[in-house]
Amino acid sequence: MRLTRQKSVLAVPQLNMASMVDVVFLLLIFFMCTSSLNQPENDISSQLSRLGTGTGQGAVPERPVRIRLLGVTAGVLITCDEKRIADFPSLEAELQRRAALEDRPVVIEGQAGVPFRYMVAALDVCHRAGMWRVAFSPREVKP
Amino acid sequence: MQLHKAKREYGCEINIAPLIDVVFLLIIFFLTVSHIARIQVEPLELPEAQEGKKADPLAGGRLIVNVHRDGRVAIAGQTHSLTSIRQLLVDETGREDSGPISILIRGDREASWEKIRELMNVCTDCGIGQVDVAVIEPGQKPSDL
Repeated sequence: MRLTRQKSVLAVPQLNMASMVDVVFLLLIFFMCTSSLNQPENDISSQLSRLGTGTGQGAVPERPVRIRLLGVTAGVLITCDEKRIADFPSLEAELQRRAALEDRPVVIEGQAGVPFRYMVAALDVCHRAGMWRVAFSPREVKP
Repeated sequence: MQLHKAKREYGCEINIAPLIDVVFLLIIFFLTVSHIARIQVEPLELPEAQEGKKADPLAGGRLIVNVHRDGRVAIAGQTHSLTSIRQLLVDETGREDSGPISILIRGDREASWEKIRELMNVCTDCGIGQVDVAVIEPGQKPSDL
């Protein structure tokens, strides 16, 4: 009896596309998620006052409104031209009142230990009150 | 005589090899870019401000200075002293092809004003009259990069 011989089939190498597509989509989702975690940031511009540094005296020629922030245990003590201000909303009201009368530059001074957020808050309040010529003072403020 | 007829083959094949090359190149590109971005923009809790303008911190060849709450000042992932920053700014401003330098100060909200004031004084000494301060919108959650 003659047995039928099995035909030898040559295996053709194949790439599995499905798994690759899975990986690519996973990577795509990963990058989309991580990019959305990047926090959007804003910028707020500030001039740098040269008063008191000895260089470029007179960079702010007009008499500026002086906002002074002193660090206290409860937070920060605010003065505007030596006048005690209770908080930042009150400072905004004060600056709005002044901005309506005259256009003066503003210099913000801070004591050494004052957290940066209070200085930025003062800058932000000036901009909100319509005072755009705001500079940080280079002087060291003593309590 | 019967001539041997050449068999015609129909159908198309997708060549996977270049596709894999391109995909891997893209992966490497994005990994590198995100790494560079993280080096320059360090994870900090930025102060809040309503009047901030929308801006990309990495746009436009600005010098990004990160000030941590412990007073450490870092540029492009490297800690710098104020002296080395002064030297860096002097070198930048002294270059013939250099335009006006734009500086972005990314200060932690709890960083001491003293450190940032000293940094601003260095900028002033180098002839820089304006800096940008990085802020976030009020109520926005601090970044966990």
